Amino acid sequence: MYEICACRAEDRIKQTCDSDTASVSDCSPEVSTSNREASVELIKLDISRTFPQLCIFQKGGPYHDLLHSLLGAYACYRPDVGYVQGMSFIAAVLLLNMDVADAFICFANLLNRPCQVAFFRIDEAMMKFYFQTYEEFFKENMPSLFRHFSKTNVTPDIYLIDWIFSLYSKSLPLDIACRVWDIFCRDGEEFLFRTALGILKLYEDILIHQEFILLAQFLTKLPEDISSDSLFKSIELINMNIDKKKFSQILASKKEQGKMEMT
Amino acid sequence: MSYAYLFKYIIIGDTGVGKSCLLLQFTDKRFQPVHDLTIGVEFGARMITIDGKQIKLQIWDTAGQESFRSITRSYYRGAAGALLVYDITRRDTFNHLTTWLEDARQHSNSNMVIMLIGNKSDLEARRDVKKEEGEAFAREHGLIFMETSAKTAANVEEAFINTAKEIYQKIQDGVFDINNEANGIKIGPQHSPSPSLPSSSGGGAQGSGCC
Repeated sequence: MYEICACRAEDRIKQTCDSDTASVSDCSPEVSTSNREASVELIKLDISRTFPQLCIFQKGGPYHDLLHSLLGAYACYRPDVGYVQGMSFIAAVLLLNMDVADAFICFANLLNRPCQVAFFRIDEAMMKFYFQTYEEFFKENMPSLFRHFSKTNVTPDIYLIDWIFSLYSKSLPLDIACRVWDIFCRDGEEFLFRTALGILKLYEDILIHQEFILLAQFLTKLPEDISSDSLFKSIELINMNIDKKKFSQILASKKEQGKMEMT
Repeated sequence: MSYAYLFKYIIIGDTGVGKSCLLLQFTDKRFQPVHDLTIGVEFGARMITIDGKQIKLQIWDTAGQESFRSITRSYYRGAAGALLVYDITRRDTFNHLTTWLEDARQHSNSNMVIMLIGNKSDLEARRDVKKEEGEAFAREHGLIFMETSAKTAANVEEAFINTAKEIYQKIQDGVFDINNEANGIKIGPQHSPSPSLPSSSGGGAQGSGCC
């Protein structure tokens, strides 16, 4: 399966290299809405911008071609999703841990989880429900910080988009991100949001005094010396029950509410 | 640090044109040959001086991939200035300017100052878009235009500062209502217009998208 998709991606990339730019842009409008296979052209721009500090995904590096084929293969396997920025980080982490065919399977399965489906398809309504649910737990766990964020207009999309799209692999040190992945695989998507709250909790004393721009800068570029032990201790402190309701239940009720408002 | 005004900027344009590199060059005066790609939005800030006044720039650096367009659209709100960037070595990034401009005009304040930037001017050998074409596009759409290089820092400082000068001029001319934060301009704490507005005395949070 991987072979087939990888081959198709290769053909597609060759095609676009052979034809001149004019003809590519001529045919793109009609395919862009339903078929995102065309997004393979964007992949090559992003490969070398994935974990640049590791120096293995850059052109000429040992993992450059593998990462390129994996992402190309996925865009052909799921033309309805295509390639979306953030995917290269997830694929890269998998490639660091297993061979390319297994990485492709894991990647496809991982991206098929409800939260990832919502985000990578940029399903704005669903993303909103996730953010709203997250904010309920934020308010429950850190009421004063929550108020400070509302007052300064730091909305969850500002920092959560990067954290969720790259599954923390871009924002946290790689070893910590891998620990997050382990528990995410065990506990499910609520752990992604619990991690976010754990990060806020860890830095609560700093964040509560900062104005908008400092908050935004801090959260989109977390300190590199973040300690794994203190982070996981702080994640543990996060209560993921509100009035005996779990994350999934609150998410379901947000969806329900959303549907009611639509009609 | 205290400032007379705060301007919100947004940097837009196709993926890989060098938006984050321009920002890094402007705020940190350095160049990263391979920059992490931006997912969602990143931020920068710097103080500049115009006409003897301290002005703080709060800069929103957005993701360029088309899929993210629907998300980044909401970031236009309250922006006083926009840097619309293309890559002079990739014609398609120039061809997409019209859609970017439509988006910007539709979702922002009508007075927002837009600076068109042709980036990567150091790569003259690989140039795919003539400088005259950039100038013509800017003239036709009423934008300011500059070619920059985030790598050599050529014109980077000027691009950010000239945009601020234009905004500052509009304030002087009374085009911008500086008491309406939806315009992307905030008056600094020490310049609070009147003591009768208690919420502004802390210099902190008042409702709108910037602070």
